[in-house]
Amino acid sequence: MSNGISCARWCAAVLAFACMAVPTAAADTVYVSNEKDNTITVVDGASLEPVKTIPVGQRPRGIVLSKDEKSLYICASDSDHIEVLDLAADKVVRTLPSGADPEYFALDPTGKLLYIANEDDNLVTIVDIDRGAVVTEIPVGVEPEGMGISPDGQYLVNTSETTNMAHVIDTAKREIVANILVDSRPRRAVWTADGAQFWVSAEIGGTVSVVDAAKHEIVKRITFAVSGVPTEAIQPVGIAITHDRKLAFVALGPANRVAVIDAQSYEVKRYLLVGQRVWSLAFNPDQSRLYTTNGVSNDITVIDVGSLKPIKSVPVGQSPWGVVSRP
Amino acid sequence: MPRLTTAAYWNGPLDARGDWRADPEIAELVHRLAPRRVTTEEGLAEIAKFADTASEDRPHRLALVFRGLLEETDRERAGLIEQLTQMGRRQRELADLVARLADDLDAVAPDTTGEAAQKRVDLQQRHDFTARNFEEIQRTIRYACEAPVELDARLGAWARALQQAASAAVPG
Repeated sequence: MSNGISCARWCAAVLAFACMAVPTAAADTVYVSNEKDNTITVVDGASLEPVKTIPVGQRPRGIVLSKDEKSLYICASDSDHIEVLDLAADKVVRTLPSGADPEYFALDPTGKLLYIANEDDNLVTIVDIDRGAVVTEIPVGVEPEGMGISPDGQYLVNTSETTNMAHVIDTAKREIVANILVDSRPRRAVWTADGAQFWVSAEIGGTVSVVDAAKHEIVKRITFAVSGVPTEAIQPVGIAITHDRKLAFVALGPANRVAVIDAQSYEVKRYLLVGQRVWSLAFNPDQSRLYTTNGVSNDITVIDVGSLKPIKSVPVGQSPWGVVSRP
Repeated sequence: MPRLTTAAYWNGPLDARGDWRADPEIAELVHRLAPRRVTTEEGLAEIAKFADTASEDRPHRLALVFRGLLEETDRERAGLIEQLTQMGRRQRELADLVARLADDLDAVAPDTTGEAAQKRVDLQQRHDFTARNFEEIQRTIRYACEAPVELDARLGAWARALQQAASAAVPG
């Protein structure tokens, strides 16, 4: 070697550089569903290292924490049920009915009901968690996907991929009260913490629609452009909005970018390069960090929300899909 | 994604002016790493070795390596996608044939006798053989569909290592 420095020393130098870049850690635990491995990876939020891999049902995708944050509910899509993972024992202790092919779901604010999108049956299934029973099924548009429940639990927004609509469902009456046409292949519906808006991502349309929740009207259609990245590679999916509604983050799929948006002016402030095919987003409990699942690079990217910089990639399982964090 | 582009992997501008093929060391490295059989880890080890030796104008030479790997990976990936498209087309033809044979079978009563019975046996065999063929190719396609994604993932890992090396202080 021309400069006489060994490969090992160079690697150590890069590693030291990488470690220095990670700010002091928050003490949370991150859970990631790995669609192809049939596992959940547990990542320690302090060290940002994977610490455990837990086997679960077939094709785990959507995940959500129980209200007491002691359990993790998992859409085991190819097992056609929901699994309840006990986070103290790190094992599946119960299954819940879900209807066919559950992909994504929402937990109502009381923590008693799960609203599940059944992609193949064009239904939203409501499940009573304590009783482990289906309460009812609501017919919706073709290929239901995204599920977002309002902070007061009064309304559920479900997106249907093929119908290109966001359906607003009154959870008391259990019926659709409004249909809002959004752009092509809507994915996620995420409410602002004040309940005034919900944001809907459109994967093929390449946009995010901001909807006034009271008027059921689109107030802004946010578009994205990343220099050098073809338009068709910009595929918005995951959305995360800070509690104070100052910032929003949108995962742009194969563009390998997370868009940072001023959630008041709707202006895209910057695009952060993360792992490949970025899909779902989740904050840590104090919202100082954002985690992204990257389905092609098989890792999660940790973004420091204060500096708006990706600070680390953490390897997880094959095709990471969902992500949540708990204290 | 139809083609792989620099911006999907590289943060900020890529200083890759010039032709990566004009630098024999870079050209050799790119051609050694580009084939599909080379694993991500093997490539990362080679990149680490190269980064260790490339002390002169290191960020630029590492960027050229990336440009070369991007172009070669993109070429290989485009070829794979074309093959998959052709396989898909052939599968549609096979599916149509299976459907036609099933219709032909339905047209002959199961309890028929004589020449018609023999025709039914032949049709059944042809139908079953074609359907089996379809299923086998379908399994191959499912496996083959992973290959472009794997190339994309491999290039991403190499790009991150190259960019990190390009931005790290020159050792020594």
